[in-house]
Amino acid sequence: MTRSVAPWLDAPLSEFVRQARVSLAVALESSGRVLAQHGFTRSLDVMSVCSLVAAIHASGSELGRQANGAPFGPLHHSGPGRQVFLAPVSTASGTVLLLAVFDDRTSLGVVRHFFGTFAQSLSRVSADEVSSGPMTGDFERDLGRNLAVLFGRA
Amino acid sequence: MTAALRETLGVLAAMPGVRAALAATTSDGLPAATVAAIDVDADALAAFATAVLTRTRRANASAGYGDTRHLSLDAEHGRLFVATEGELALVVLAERDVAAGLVRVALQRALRNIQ
Repeated sequence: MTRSVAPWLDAPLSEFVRQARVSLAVALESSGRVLAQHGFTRSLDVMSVCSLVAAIHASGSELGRQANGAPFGPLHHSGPGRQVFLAPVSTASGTVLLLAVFDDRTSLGVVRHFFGTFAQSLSRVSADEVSSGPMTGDFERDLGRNLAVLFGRA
Repeated sequence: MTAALRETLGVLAAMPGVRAALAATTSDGLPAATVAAIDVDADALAAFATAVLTRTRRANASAGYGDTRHLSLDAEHGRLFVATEGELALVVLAERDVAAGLVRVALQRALRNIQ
């Protein structure tokens, strides 16, 4: 089940999960603050994943700037059973990071294709819709509240 | 793209009624090389053709029919052919009235050529 604290992410993320057949997905701000998730059962997992994703994205972006003159794009890691796909999406309010975990029920090609559709959907969301998210500017407080909402404790 | 693969795909794409021919990796569904007679989204074609192949393979294996080496899909306005050997799949997108037997033979020959 997909849960989010950003209503403008609900439909695009649900569609991405359904069509790309990924088992886990999380959308977050580049700061690491979670916005939506699918498939996680523990808030601690989401919190650690978001921290790692934000760090990976920051490192990759900086490496890209130094080596490539611009941040690198999507990242894919493959393991023996599961694979991860991590990519940034530009929205009206900044960058949203999407991490998807998938297995051999789907493929990188399919995930990439539906990530494109997901990114297109977010590009059509207006700044007003994006900025309506319940953020106070206090990272810890927002993170805690977002996790509580995502796991049905708020 | 190796010269042999480009030449092989060129032969397939030049067949009457063929819209596009591409080579893709079966495990990740990404295109390795494409020759298209018309505009075709190679990324999408590679992703979905290999996804269909993978599921068909599993269904056939579950039914006890063994490995799937060739797949043909007929739709209202066109046909999709996929032939595979190991990690490589050759994909042909064609018109509805293409000579399916010739495409099948050409795909098998193509697979032999690029091994």
